Amino acid sequence: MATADTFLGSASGRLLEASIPFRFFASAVLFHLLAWLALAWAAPSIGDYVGGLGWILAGVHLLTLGVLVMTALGASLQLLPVATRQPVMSQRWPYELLWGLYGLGVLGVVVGMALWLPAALCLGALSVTLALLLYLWLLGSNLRGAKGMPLVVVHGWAAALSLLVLLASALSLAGLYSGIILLERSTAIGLHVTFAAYGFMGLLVMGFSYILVPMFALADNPAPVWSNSSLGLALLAMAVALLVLMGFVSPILFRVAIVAAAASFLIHVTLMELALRSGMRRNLGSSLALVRLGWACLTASFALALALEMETGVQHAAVLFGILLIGGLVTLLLGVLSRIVPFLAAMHAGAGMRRPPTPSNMTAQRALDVHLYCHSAALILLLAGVFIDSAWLLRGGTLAGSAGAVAYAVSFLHSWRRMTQMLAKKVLSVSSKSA
Amino acid sequence: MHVEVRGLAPPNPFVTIIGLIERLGPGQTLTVHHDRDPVPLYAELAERGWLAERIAGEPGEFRLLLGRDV
Repeated sequence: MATADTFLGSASGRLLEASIPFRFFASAVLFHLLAWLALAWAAPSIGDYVGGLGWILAGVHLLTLGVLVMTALGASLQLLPVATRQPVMSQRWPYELLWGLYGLGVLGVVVGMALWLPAALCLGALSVTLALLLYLWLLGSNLRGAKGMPLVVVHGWAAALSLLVLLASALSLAGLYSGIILLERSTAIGLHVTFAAYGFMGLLVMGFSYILVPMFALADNPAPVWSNSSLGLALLAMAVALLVLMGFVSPILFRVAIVAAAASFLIHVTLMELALRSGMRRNLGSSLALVRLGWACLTASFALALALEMETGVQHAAVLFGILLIGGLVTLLLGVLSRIVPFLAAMHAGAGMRRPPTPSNMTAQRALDVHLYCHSAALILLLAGVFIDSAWLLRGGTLAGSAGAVAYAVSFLHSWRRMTQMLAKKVLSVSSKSA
Repeated sequence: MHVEVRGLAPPNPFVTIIGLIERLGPGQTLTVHHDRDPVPLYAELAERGWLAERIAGEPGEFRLLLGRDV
């Protein structure tokens, strides 16, 4: 069949250079480990956390900015042009500038939080903001030229608007520590949590899931009537939440926003489960187990959000809510990333080869299995530790999380090393032929 | 066997093609009529022991011949 030079035709224009998405993923993997270590350092006080600077807030932002947003940036820069059928930008500088500004900004934010350094926090927040505005420009340029995929495109626009609210609230919160008041603290926190987790990350993940989950499971796309209903409810929830948090309508309506968001998410998860059950590929291994665990945690986060809003008196409800929300998003994204990384590595390593490597050749399955067990144990121990006020369980949970992060890093390095070895071999082969 | 996937939104071309090759008998090939280079497809084909070759097609078409790696 194919010869080396006819295989693949020209993949240029649809794939970013491997180093671009992989630098974002590598940074996320590193921040993941640092996040668990920061949380391990502060473990005994997690249950009583009520906000403010320190190692817990730094650990939380290593997870949110360092893992969630970093992964979302790397994945969306590569996946969105494929989904919207557009060529990727040929210049490297916007991606390199984005990664540099963002990575340095995250470091500034978390160092500022961990060591109580408001100036570092503000500088870091400014750098993160500039980077994410650059990302917004890249995202907007892509969405404006999208050919088809209206469901993904609308999710993308809604996530972009949420990102603006997230940035405004983040700058306001960072400024408070330097005496600059832009928004009242409780308003800024409400906007920040809602539009960072459910708005930006939630909508981006839901939008991409409509492509990735059927692709992983080899299933048909979900029925549009239901996916559009889910999107409609999510947009309603975001709009109502914004009006309530800005003080334009009665606070009681926040319950409507929570119920609408929960209904939207449940429809989405049901559609994804139907795709997984009807698909030609049933065994998706540890990545699917993580995705399902993430969905379960996020579903439970809506129940806790409602309990908090209705002041039902659940002990440590805010901390439990935080673990379920951030833990759920991190778990879901790590599950997706563990599938994307070997696939992307095989795509890059195999470009132009007669027999490209398979994604399973690029996967360190044992390390991923270890990560699944450690990560699941970490979430359970953290929830139990907070619930029964046990510093030992909290310490155990964060150490299990750290061990899981090491295993995840091993699996990432395996894929990265195999890909770079194969790319180096191809370069050597081309050089020897031309010589 | 031929399959026309031009105009289908992602991931439908990918799912359609993999679904079809699973049903082909030994020695059978599949010609894919696509409107773009299906970059994610090749790794999945390799996983299933299939190879792809780009062959001449109509203007604006990306035509592939798929066959088992023997």
